[in-house]
Parts: sequence; structure tokens; C-alpha cells
Amino acid sequence: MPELHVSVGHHRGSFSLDAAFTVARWPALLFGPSGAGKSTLLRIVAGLDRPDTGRIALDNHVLTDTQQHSFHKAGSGVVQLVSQRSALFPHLSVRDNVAFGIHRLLPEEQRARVDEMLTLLGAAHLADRKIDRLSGGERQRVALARALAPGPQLLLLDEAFTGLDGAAKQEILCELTELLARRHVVALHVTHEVADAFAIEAEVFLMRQGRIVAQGPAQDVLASEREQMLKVLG
Amino acid sequence: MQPGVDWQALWLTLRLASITTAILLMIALPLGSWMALSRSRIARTLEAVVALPLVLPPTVLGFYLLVLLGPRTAPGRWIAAVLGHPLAFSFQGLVVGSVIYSLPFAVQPMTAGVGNIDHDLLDAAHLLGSRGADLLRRVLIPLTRRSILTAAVLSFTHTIGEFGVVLMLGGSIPGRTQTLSISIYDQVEAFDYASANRTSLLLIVIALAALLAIYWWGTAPVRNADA
Repeated sequence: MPELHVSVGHHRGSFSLDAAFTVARWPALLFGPSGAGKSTLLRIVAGLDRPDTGRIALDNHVLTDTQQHSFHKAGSGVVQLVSQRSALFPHLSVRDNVAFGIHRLLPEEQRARVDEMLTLLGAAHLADRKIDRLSGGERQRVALARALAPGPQLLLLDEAFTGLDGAAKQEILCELTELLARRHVVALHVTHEVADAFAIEAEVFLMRQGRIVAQGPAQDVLASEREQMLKVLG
Repeated sequence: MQPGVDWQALWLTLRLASITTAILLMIALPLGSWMALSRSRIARTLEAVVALPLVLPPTVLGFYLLVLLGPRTAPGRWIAAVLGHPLAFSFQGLVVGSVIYSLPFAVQPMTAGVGNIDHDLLDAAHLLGSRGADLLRRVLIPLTRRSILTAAVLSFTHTIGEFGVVLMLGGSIPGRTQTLSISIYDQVEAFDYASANRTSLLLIVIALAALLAIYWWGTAPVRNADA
């Protein structure tokens, strides 16, 4: 699995993001309270926003380097992002949603890739459904299939499983863990739910006020966080 | 004199409105989409310029178009040399005037429609490599069908009801530049109130039918899973 190296600065008004970390294994969780800058960081890594300063690289492949005035632009196929709201195109079927990012392939290749992705995510039976006929869990499976279809090297998950019940979330996470390992895809999952961190024995990056303040196994990072909170509360 | 509808003016008006609407949609789809998605000052400036016909008296626009397209200016002379006749007082001149005058009625619904699209969908499209013309074709147009219908109907009806710009730029040449609204004006000037009444009623029917298209089909519930 490739390593993701991130070291970026981004300043907008009173908010300052200044984060540096390396993701070397999955499951990797970016954890922190609302407003910590997690989604901003993910948007920058995805190429949807530009950092003011810094560098983002996947192994030796530099995506963004502000010193070289080189910026990764969303859509290159290297990075994909799945958000909580799934963002499936409502005017397209499940099949056409998954095929959206691979429409330049030959029709038979496209069809085969869509079938493969939907099968991997246990959603093959949904192929011809309309989007508004899907449950929350099914939507997230389709969104994951759509994101993985172009063959990204980096998958970003922004609260992607929030709102799903515990069993559905656990099932998708387990399947995803296996899938990402098999396809050599590095992934970073943003969440503010403590249970997520413990459920999948993740490497946790704790983010607060735009900075990565701790890193390590979930039980270590979140235990020290808990102790600090108790100290603050007296 | 038998009262009646000026069929020649009706045909010319429908032709003018159809051509104007087709041209406006081709301009408004990319322009309105870009203005909705761009954060630049140029986009905001352009938005104000496009909206000018809403606040200017049509005679002002008609006057400057008449001057610009007439034989006294370099562009006017160049166009006359290319077409073999000046644009002023011609059907083509009316089309140019109508496109400019009705521009906000086509562009603003598109800007609003694209502006209302869920930003997560646009981000997803960008991440999946869709930009520019591809984004317009595969995402923006399908998701703004109501806005496109509204833009088309408003452009069509506004062109049909145009008076000031048409009169300034085209005069009232039967069969060439005399539209229904000018024909009504001429009929009233000639005290032919019965014909003016019939022509006016016809205009009302056309406008109402077009607007009903918006209210019947344009507001029908659509499934939008992510809304």
C-alpha cells in the first residue's frame, strides 16, 4: 500500500489549518470535533481546494507542491472522495452513476468494470435501480463503487458512514478494509464518532483547531484525549 | 375595412421569437452556468451587464443598436459588406436586437438553476473528471431542465411582446420587420380598434399558453434523491 504524506497550511479569515501527517496503513482515521478543519483538509487533499503552502504526495508521486506552483486538480482519477451525503446523480441509474467516471472506456469495458465494482461492494442487484429507490446503506455502497471504478490510488471518506446503523457500518467497513488492501488503495476516513475509531482498530490522527495534535492506535490517542478533557473539566 | 389579424406579422413574430430563443439558449446555458459557478469579479460584472436590459428603457438599447449596426460605424459597415445590406431595418437586425434585449430572461433562470444544484454533486462530478462542456452536458443540463424550460418560455414570450427595440431598430416594414406588437400600434393609429383587439387577444393567448407550459410542466414534482 502506498503512503500518503501531507504537510499543508491554509488560512481563511480567523481559521488556520496547519497539518502534517503520514498515512501508512488502513484503517486510518482523521478524528476530531466539528470545526477542527477535517473536511477542509480532505478537500485540499482531494484537489477541490488549494492550500496556501505545503506538499501532498503519494509515495514519490507529488500531487501538490506549492513551492513548485504545482497543484493537484480534482478529476485526475488519482484521488476520490466519498462524503456522508453520497452525492449520487439523481438523474442517472445506479449503473450510470458508477460508470460516470469511466465513460471514456469502451462500452464493454465500462460494463465489466461497473459489474465488478458493484459485485465487490455487494450491490450487483441494484444496478438498474433509480437512486431514489435506495436505502442509506445502499447509497453509500453505490457511492463507494463509483469512487473506486476509476481505480484511484487514494480514497477519502468524509463522514461517509454517519447515519448508518452500527451493523451496516461495521459490515461496509470490514468489506472495504479487505477491498482496499486487495487493490492497494490508501484511504483516510474522517469521522467525529469515537465508536468508529475503536470498532475497526484504526490508526487515529487527532485533529484540533486545524492541527494534528496526536497520532497512534485508537485506544492510546483517545484515552489521552479523554484524560485531558477530564482535567479541563476539573 | 374588414377587421382581422395581421397573419404576415404573426408569422414574422413567431419566426423571430423561435430563432431568438434558440440562440439565447445556446448562449445562456454555458454563460449562466459559468456565472453561477464562478466566484470571480468578472462573473459578477457580467451578471450586472446582462441584467441591463431589465432596467434600461428599450429605446435606449434600440438607439445604440441602431447607431452601432448602421452605416456610420465601422462594425455596421463591415456587417453591411458581409451581408450585402445593413443590419438595421432588416430581420437579422431584429434578431440581434431581440437576443440582446431578452438576454437576462434566458441567462438569469439558468444562473439560478445551476446555483441551486447541490454542491456535493458538482464536487463529485469534478472528482470523476467532468468539467466544462462535459459537465454541462452530463450534469448541469439534466439537473436544470426546469430552468431551461423557464428560460426558453420567458425568452419566447418576451420576444413576442417586444416593442421599443423592434421599432427603433427595424421600423415597421411589413413582411420584414413589422411584428405583431408593432402591427397593433399601427392598427390603433389607424383607428382600426377591431383589428387591434383581435391581434391583442391573439398575443394574450400565445403568452398565456407559453406561461402555462412553465406552470404545468415546470413545477411538476421531480425525484431528486439528494435534495
